[in-house]
Formats: sequence, structure tokens, C-alpha cells
Amino acid sequence: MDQQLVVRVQGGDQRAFEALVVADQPRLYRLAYGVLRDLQLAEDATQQALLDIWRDVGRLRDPAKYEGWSYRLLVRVCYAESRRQQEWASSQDLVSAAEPRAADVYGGIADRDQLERGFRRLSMDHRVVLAMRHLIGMTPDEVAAVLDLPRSTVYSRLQAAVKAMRAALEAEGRSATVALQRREAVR
Amino acid sequence: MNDEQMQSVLDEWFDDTDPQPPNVQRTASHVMSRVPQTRQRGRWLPFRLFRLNAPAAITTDTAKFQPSPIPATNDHTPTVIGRTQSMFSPAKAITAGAIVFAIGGVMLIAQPFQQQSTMPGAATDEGRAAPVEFSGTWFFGGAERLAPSETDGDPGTGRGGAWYLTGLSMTDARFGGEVTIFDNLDEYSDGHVVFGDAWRVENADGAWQSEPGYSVDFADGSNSGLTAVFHGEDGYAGLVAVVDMELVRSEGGDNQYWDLNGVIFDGDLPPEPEARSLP
Repeated sequence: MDQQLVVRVQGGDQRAFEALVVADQPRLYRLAYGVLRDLQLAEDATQQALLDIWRDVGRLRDPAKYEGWSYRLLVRVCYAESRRQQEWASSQDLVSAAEPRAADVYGGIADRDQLERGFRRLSMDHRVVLAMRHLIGMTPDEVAAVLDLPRSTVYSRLQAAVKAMRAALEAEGRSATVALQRREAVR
Repeated sequence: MNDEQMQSVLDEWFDDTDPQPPNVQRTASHVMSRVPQTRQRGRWLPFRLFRLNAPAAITTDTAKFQPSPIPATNDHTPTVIGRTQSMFSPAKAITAGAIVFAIGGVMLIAQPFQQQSTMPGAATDEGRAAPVEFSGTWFFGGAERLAPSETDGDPGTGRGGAWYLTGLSMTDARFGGEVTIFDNLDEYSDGHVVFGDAWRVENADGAWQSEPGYSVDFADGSNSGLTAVFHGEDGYAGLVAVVDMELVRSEGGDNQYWDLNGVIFDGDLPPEPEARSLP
């Protein structure tokens, strides 16, 4: 991000802010969707985060730290969205959660859906660190800095989140296998 | 599946499900249409999270507000812009005194001495020393972070923060000294912040420990202020201070301070009232 642009926005320059919105929207939307897993919620969260950036950018002491700071604002909005939206109405073309379609673990649409369901069962704390680590590609130390959390907290959340995702994947794989076996037995 | 395999599965899954962002011009249009109604706030307030590299402590010593001499360069005599003299003037002092006497006179007329403390059920101050008023300021300019403010997993919360303040002024020396603020806060995405604070004041003769106090930052950045109760310890044991605290924020937020007005008295607070449903 152009630091001069950030400085101009800090000075109240609306045209500079519009340029910042255009430049920053894809980056913020990517993380918002990665955490919220809902197209509409992610768009709403991105817009709110951009407005929060406009409102609070004067408090950013070091424009060089804009990127991490803006992620932090976005994550805060995502927390608020998740509190408001207890039940996630996905606009994704998801497979029904009631019946896994196949058991081809680690590849294919069915596994993506299993991962999706597993991810949605995670707490927001776990979603955020997982998305920052695996979607944005931040190191755990960078995640800790952005979220203002101790490193140990980030590491433990990552471990717990990965463990929960693996458990969800394996459990769904097993249940899918059982469902297929039962179906074949009926035939 | 081991951890490494799971990590790569997650990398791949996030990549595969990464959507196209919505039309950026539409986003820009929506956001920019709301910008005129969204007031920009000043610098991040140190009272909230104290992340500022605090500037030097602010002092009320007016002598220190005088511009320092600037050496002449290139044969030019520099021009000092701004106030170079004290704000005090005899005319202002006389005017202020007249206003104080006028207000005092009106209050005496409104409540003659013989009618004081005659309200049914009111306690009298017979046999007790009158409360002593004081005022002062706690600046945040020299705030030093003593304990980190844990976020408790939610970036909108702060827990267990502790801050040591310097650069204080106080008209009653009993309430002067070193001040430590302990704070918890919950910040909401619309800009509201709810603070829970407690203070401890220590000096050579004793200490003051506050009861928890709560205040709110409104969405426009202003603060509700609060009235805090302090209990004396050691040399001040038995004394109570009731202090109205107003948070004053300058443009930009760097020079914010608590403006204190209160009383110190020897005795107890009135009994805690109990709210109840009346028939």
C-alpha cells in the first residue's frame, strides 16, 4: 500500500480514500470471506471495515503498518458480523450437510464441503487465525502482531483449529463411508 | 493424515474456494456514499489502549509554554507566532472574583443559613469537618504502560491493562502523587467503547484506592465522564474522596487529560440506596 495515500487519507482527502478503497477492497474481501464463508456477509464486512478505516485512520501512528492495522479492523467487524449472524445463511452452492455425497477423502467437491462444514463449526477465534495463516499466508508471529495476541495463543489456536478440521474431515469421511455401505446393503 | 498433510489440504482448500471479489466500483460507490456521514476521528487515544509513543509529560507550568529562544540564522530575526505572554491579567482576576462573589451571594439568598439541613431525613454535618474541595488534572502525555491489555481473543476487548501516569497537577496535595490506572474495555465496531476503570493514587503520606468506575465513549469520540469514589489508606485512612472526572480530548487526541473536581471528607459515604419497586 502506498504510504503517501494513507497519509493523504489521514488528512481527510476523500479522493485519496476512494483510491484506497479500490486498491484495498480485494485484499480485505478475501480475508472477510475466508473467515465468514458467506459472500454477502463478506461484502458487508468489507464495506464496514473500509468505513472504519476512514473513521479511525487518524489514529494510525505509522502508515507503514497500515496493512496489518486494516486487517485488525476487518477482523473486528467480522467478529461483530458473526455475533449478529448466529446462523450462517450461505450463498455458496453448497451440498446439503445432511448427506455426504461421497467418501473420496482429500480430493473433490465432497471433501471441500466437508472442510466447509468443519470450518463453520470452528469458533471465530479459530477461523481468524486459520484464515490468516492459510489464506493470507501470514506467519504465526505476524498473526500475533496483527491481532495483538501473545504468540503462544496464536500457536495454540492454530493447533486446535487444524486438529478440529482434521477431525471433522475424518469423521465426515467415516460417516460417508458408512452411508454408502448401508445404501449398498439395502440394494 | 499428519499435520503437514493437513496444512497443505487447508492451503489448497482456501485457494480453491477463494472467490472473485465483488465489483470494486460498486463497493467504492457504497462506501463513498457513507463517507460524508462518517466523521474522522483523531489519533488513537492513549487512554483506550495506550499504544502511543507518549510524548513528554505535559505540565501546567505556564513558564514552560513559552517558546524557547530561536537562534537567528542568515541575519534573519525569526518571528515567533503564538502566545508569548501569560494569560493572567489583573482585569481578568478582578472579573473572576466579582463573578464568584455574585454567585455566592445568590446562593446565600436562595438558601438562608437558618434553613440549611432542615429537610426531613437529611443528615446534618454537625460535629464533622466540612468537605474540602479540590481540582486537578491527570495527563496522559507521559503514560507508561505497566501491564499489557490482553484482548481476550476478541480484538474489541482489553483486559487487565495498567498504566502509570506522570505530569499531574492537583490543588490538594493529599490527592497528588503517582497515579496508576487499571482498565478493562469493550469496544464496539460502531465506535462505542465501554470502559471499566480503577485508580490508585500514592504519595509519601498515604494512598487512595478507587472503587470501579465505568464510562462510555460515544460514537463521535466524546466520553461520558464519571464520578469516582476513592477510599484513603495509611495516612489518609478514614478519608473519602468523591471525584467528578471529565475526559477532555484535544484535537488529535495527543493531549487528552482527565479534569478532576472533587471533595475530600472525613467520614463515610451515605448508606447505599436500594432501588425497589414502589407500590
